[in-house]
Amino acid sequence: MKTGMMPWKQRIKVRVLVFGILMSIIPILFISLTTFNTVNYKFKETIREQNLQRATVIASELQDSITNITESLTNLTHVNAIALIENNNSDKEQILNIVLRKESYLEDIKIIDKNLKSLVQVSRREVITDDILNKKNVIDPKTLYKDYTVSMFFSL
Amino acid sequence: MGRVIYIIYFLCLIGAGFYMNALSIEDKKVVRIGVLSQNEERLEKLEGLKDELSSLNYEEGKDVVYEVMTSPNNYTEMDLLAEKLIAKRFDVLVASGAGETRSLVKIVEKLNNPPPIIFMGTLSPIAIGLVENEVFPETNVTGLNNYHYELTTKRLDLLKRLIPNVKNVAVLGDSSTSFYQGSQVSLRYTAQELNINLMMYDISKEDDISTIVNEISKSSQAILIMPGSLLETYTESIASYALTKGLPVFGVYPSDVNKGCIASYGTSYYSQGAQSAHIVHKIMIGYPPKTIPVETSEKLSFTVNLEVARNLGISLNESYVSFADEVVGQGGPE
Repeated sequence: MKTGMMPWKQRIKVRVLVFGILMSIIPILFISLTTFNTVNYKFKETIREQNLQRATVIASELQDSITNITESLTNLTHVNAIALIENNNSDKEQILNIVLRKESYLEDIKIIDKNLKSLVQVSRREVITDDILNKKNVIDPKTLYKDYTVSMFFSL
Repeated sequence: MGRVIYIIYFLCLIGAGFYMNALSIEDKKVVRIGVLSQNEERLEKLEGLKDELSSLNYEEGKDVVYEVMTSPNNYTEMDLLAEKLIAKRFDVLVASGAGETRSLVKIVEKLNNPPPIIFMGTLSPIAIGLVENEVFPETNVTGLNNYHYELTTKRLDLLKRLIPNVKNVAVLGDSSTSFYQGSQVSLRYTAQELNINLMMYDISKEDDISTIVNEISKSSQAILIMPGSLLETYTESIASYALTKGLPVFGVYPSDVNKGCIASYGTSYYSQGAQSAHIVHKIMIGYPPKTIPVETSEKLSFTVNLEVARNLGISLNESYVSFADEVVGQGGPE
């Protein structure tokens, strides 16, 4: 049979060419896929690590900030213990207002007794009068730790 | 044949060049920000926004461009300006207050793909219907809540604590603002708690100031200004006229004490703009506005002007002067 009469699929030249192409494409595809998956995994891993680092930094800053506020309140109770217990409400409010001015992240400061009764309260946004304080002066124990609450006990 | 291959090769090179160039242009895309403001005073928010974005490495003219439209206290024109601004297809729309945001929202509601709208400080966005949820706005609108609605009663409280003898207080408001009616109830309740007799006055134009302040001087001992675009513009006129009548005026913004108010409680225009810049930055880096929570003002300032108090012959409660974040002028008898 003459070469020109053979179907093109059976020609050795075509078969060699197809074999060559397949043998070059398949490994390249395989290598590409593997590389892509590895890069993709590494990329996601790097992003995850970066996010984790950022979250850790933010968490640590938050922790520092909360610690500073707590220390500030602890100092307040140590330094002004007598005034915060014995003085009139106006003097107590003045002390608490100064702390509220210094600590811009605090919304409210209140002094509560062991029965969770609010004795004095100052607020950045709310209006707190003696009448209002008397009307809602007992804190529901269920809500006590709902927000961040710092308990400080001091005695004379 | 060889020549054809060379031509194809060069065409491919040129095509690749154009493609790379297009990619680099895409990388250096200049963000266009359209700003809508109801008065000149609120443009200070834009200064804060620009400065803070600049500190976040957005160079004006190179990385970001601003186009500002203002319509001093003309509510009808505000809607037209909002329409013009939206037609210009900005990447981010920034509103300097509640009225401006509402005008923009009214128009973008009709669009299929609405642009993000950031408000640089409005009173409670839920109360005035801008968002349904502050944590997850779920709309194309987000921004900064400056708490002006809630702080109105606090200002009355601070006025009473600063000047304990005050019994009759006149409240100046603009009935065209979105929260005027809503704040009446809480103000009256607080006034009752503080043993204050409250008188409400509505100002709609500058010509009314002298007549109204004259009337107030007959029955009240102090004036409390409510927030709102119109009153922001008239604060200086109100305070200076009230001063001639011996009336102290309690303002909204820290800068109000420089306009003649005895004290003020609120967040400055500048810091509202600066804080909003971080929300705009999030939009620029690809966060959808519906996922960005509405923020609360970081800094509330209680400011007192001792010079005004001295000129009026009023002695302020020292306990509350010490609570002030900023004290302007020298106190003591004249």
